[in-house]
Amino acid sequence: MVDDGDCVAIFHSIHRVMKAEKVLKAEKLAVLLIPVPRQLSSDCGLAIRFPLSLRNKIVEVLTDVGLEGAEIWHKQDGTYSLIP
Amino acid sequence: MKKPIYLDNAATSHPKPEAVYRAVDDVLRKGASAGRGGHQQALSAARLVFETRELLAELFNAADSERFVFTANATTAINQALFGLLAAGDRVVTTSLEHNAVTRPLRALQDRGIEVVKVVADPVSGIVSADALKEACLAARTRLLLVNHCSNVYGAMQPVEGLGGWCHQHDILFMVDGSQSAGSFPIDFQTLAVDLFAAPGHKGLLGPQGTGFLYVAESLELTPLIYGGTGANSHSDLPPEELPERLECGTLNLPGLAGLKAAIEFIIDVGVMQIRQREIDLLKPLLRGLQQMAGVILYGPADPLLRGAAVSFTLRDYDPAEIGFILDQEENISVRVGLQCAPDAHRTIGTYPQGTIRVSPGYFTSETDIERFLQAIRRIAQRGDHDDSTTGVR
Repeated sequence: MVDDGDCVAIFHSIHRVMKAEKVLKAEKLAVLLIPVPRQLSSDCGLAIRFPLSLRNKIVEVLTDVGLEGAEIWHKQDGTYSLIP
Repeated sequence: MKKPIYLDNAATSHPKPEAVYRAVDDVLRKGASAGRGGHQQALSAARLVFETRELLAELFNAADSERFVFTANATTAINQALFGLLAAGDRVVTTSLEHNAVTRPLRALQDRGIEVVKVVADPVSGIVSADALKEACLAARTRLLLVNHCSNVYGAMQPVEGLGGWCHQHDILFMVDGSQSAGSFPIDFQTLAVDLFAAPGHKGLLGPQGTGFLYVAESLELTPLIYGGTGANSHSDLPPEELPERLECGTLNLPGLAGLKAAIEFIIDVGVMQIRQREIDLLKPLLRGLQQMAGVILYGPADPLLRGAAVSFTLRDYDPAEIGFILDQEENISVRVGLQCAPDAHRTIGTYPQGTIRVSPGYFTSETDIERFLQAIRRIAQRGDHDDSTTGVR
C-alpha cells in the first residue's frame, strides 16, 4: 500500500481528506486515497499517499486552501517519520 | 378522477427535479456508506457527501463547506443548535411566528433554566419589527436571537437583513430558521452574518425527505446532540473535535444526500433568482384570485414581494378542515389545513385554534393549477351547504 520513499498525509476529518483529494487532483498531482497505515494514528481513517517528489507542491496547495494542519509522514526502511 | 394538483410545497416540495429521482436510485444500487471504510465504493460515497456540502457552501456563499452539518430534517438541525448551545441562565429572543420545531425545544429548554422572550408580529402583515426584536434583545443580557425567515403559515418574510451585524455588535448570536426560505430566496450567509442557519433539504431545496442541515459559523462550538460512531477517531470514546463529523453521528442518509446534491445542482443551474421570480409569478394570480372572492379572508402580506409561497386564508365560517377535505375528495387538490405546526403564528393573526387553509405552490406548479384551484374554491364558496359549526364534522 505504501512503498519506501512514499509520503502519507493524514488529516483530522474525512471532510478534510475529501477536500484535499479534490484540490490536489484538480492540480493533476498523482495522489491516492488509502486507509491510514496502522503505524500512524489519525482522527480519520483515510490518508493521502504521494511520492516524496511532490511534497513541496502538495504542501503549497493544501496551505492555499486552509489545510495546512495536515501531518505528512515519510516512509523509509519500513518506518515512518514526520516531516516538519 | 381529475388530474392531481399538489399545492402543499410548504410541507415538502413535489415533484422533484427528474435528476433527483435518478440520483437516489443510482446511489441505492451502488451501496457503501460515506466515511465507513477505504474501499472504492465507500470513497465514492464520501466524495458525494463532500460535494453536496461544497454545493451548499456555493449556494449560500459560505466560506467553508465543513461548517454544514447534515441532519435528518430542519427540526433535528434546530434541536442540535439550541441544545448544543444554550445553558441555564441564557436568554433567547425569538418571534411569535415560530414553528413547533423551534417552539417546542425552547419550551423544553425553559424547564432547564433558559429564558425565552417571544416578540409578537404585526397581526395584519405577520411581520415582526426589527426594532422590536432589537429592543427585546437589549432589555437584558441575551445569548441568541432566533428568527423565522419566512412564515410557514402565511408566508410573511421577516426583516432578517441587518440583524446579524447588529447582533454581533452587541455580542449576541444570530440564528435563522430557513425552513421556508432555503432554495426559494437568494440567501448569502456572509451578508446575513448568521451564526446558525437551519433548513430542510426537501422543501425549497427540492431534495428528498430525510435530509436537512445546520450551518454553524466558524469559531462557534456546539455540544453534540447525538453521540456515536463517526467512521473515524474510533480509538476514542469521545466524539471528534472537527466539524462536520463532530455533530454527525451514525450512518448518513446517502440516497437522500445524493438526491439533495442533484437538487442543488438543479437550483444553481436554474438560478435562485429565477426560482423566486417563478414563485412571484404564481403568487400574483393566486393572491389576486383569493382577494377578489367574497367571503375569503387572506392572511399575511398582500404584496408577493414581501412573502414566500405559503398562502393562508379562511372562507366565511367554513371549517378549514372541511375545505381541505372537499378539495382532496372532489377536486384531487392537495393543500394543508389547520395549524400547520405553528400555533403561535395562528394566535398572532387570530386564527387559533381553527387554523387556516394553506395553499403553497412550488417551482413546478403551473398557472393552470392555480386557476383550477381558484375555480374549486369558487365552487365551494357558492355551495352554501356546509356545516356552519367550525368544529362540526360533515
